[in-house]
Amino acid sequence: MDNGRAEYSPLSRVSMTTPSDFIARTLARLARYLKESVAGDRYASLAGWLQRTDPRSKLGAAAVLMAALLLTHDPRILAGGYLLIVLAAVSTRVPLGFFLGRTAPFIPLFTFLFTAPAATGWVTPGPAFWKASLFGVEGSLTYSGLESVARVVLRVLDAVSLVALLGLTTRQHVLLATLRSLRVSAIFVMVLGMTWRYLFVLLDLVEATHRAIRSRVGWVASGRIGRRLVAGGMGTLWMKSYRLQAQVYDAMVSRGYDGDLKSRRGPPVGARGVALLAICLGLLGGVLWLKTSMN
Amino acid sequence: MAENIYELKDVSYSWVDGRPALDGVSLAIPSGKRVAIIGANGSGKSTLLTLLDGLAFAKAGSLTAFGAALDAKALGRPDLQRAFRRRVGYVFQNSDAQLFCPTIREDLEFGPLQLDVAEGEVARRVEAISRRLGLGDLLERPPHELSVGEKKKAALASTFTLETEVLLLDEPTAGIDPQTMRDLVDLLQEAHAGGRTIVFATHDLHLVEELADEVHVFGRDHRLARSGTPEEILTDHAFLLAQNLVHIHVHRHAHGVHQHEHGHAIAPVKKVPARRKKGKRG
Ligand SMILES: Nc1ncnc2c1ncn2[C@@H]1O[C@H](COP(=O)(O)OP(=O)(O)OP(=O)(O)O)[C@@H](O)[C@H]1O
Ligand SMILES: [Mg+2]
Repeated sequence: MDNGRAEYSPLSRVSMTTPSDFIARTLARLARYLKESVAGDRYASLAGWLQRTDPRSKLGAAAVLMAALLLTHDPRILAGGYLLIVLAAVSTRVPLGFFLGRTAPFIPLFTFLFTAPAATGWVTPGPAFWKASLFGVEGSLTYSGLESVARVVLRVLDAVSLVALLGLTTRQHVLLATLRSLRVSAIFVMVLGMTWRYLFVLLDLVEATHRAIRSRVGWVASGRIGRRLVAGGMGTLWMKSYRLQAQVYDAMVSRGYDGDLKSRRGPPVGARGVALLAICLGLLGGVLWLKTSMN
Repeated sequence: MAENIYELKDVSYSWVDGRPALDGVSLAIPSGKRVAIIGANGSGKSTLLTLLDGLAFAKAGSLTAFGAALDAKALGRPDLQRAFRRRVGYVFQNSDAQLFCPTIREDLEFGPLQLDVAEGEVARRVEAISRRLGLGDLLERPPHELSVGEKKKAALASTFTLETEVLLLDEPTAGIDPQTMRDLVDLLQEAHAGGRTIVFATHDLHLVEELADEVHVFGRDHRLARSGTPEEILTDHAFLLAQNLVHIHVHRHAHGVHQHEHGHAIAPVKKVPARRKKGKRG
């Protein structure tokens, strides 16, 4: 489960009603949300087949499948791809409901809302699938319009699910280390990792600062005073984070960092990793073959 | 061994112009000795260690390390910088600054990897120190999940894997439990027996008594107030009281209230008993 710390925070427990508390409450929510997102790591530490596959091969496989997605136009194949991804998730011990909840509802829905006009005869002319007239204005949904909307929505759904599956079955820091071992600029990955790491230090600081304010001035009744305290707290926070950055750099230099980051070589990819990569390359090949044989 | 690792002559430093953090400090750190730095909050202990680790440079006076000036010019040379990092390790007061990798294991590996220690050897060192400090379960965890004391332990370990001949420790015992304190003291005694030089800043007078050969006390004026052996300094209660290092404590007993100094009670210093728990000082 989550690390539970946010749960014990007085900020998230006390029911808050005054306007100035709104800020505290929002910050506490944000803190909790971010902390819980780490709990996503709980599926990454299960013993499913994807979790045990080498992260480099998973990253490679995801990239290959992305390419296949971009080359596929047929919505039926895209839908089949989605089924495959969901199957993969379930077979690797990620609960179906959790997976669908993370991927299915929002992003594809938004995509649908934005692309829906493309289904109409005004945007995509062609044989009509459905016709209506309202106050003398004629409108229609066309087959080709529907197909292009389905294509975009399914592509987005597939892409989001693929990335989610990768993220859910690989621990955050392993993913970062993998990027590094794939020769993505070491310093870029280090910065990415540190951003993640120090987000938590700063969130703890935010919480502690608010707890301190609360314990010293008690119930912050006036919105104006509350805002001033929060603003002051933010100023201090900024200074603290600035100092922390300087200290982190010192700590790196102290242990021999000289601008050229050196890291450990990873272990070999392993049979499982090779197999996964081969299968995904096969899928890409199949898509390419379909594409050429249909033209 | 009469040679000095560090020699400071009239060293001053200020983080913000016009507000000194160290003022006219002269002292020497002899090779192989265990040196304690004590003093009130803000007296300049951490600043001194920062200078000794070559992360900032004296604004006035001179500071030499291993017989050569420790200044921006010397450490600006990559070869000298590397040679210096191989010889001096620093445990920061703020463990959050020291643990910047995604997992504790990577933090432990970071230093030796940067200094081109072979991977097999790095793994051996990580293994050895984690066993000594009982870090086993923590190795694969991200630092933000650890408690304050666990972070301190990990921070210590991340410096120990460098196996440097000089160890600079800023409040090494802050937040750690008595058993870990025991392990740490044993580890430092071993390092000392192996000929290493240890400089530590602390508020823990028991640690000073148990570990130090020499003590330097910094005053609130950021100057060196006094130097001496633990025996000389720890028995001078009036002085310790003036330096904020002990405090008057009021007790309420059944028969009334009485007042006495609280903090450290060694009348004549006896040599370290074999197994002592960290005492209560509050
Ligand atoms: N990064 C910095 N920026 C500005 N001022 C600083 C900085 N670090 C320390 N100081 C100031 O320098 C003086 C000495 O601080 P230092 O951290 O060396 O004290 P300390 O003896 O280690 O205290 P503590 O016991 O609290 O750790 C203090 O007045 C402090 O405010
Ligand atoms: Mg300090």
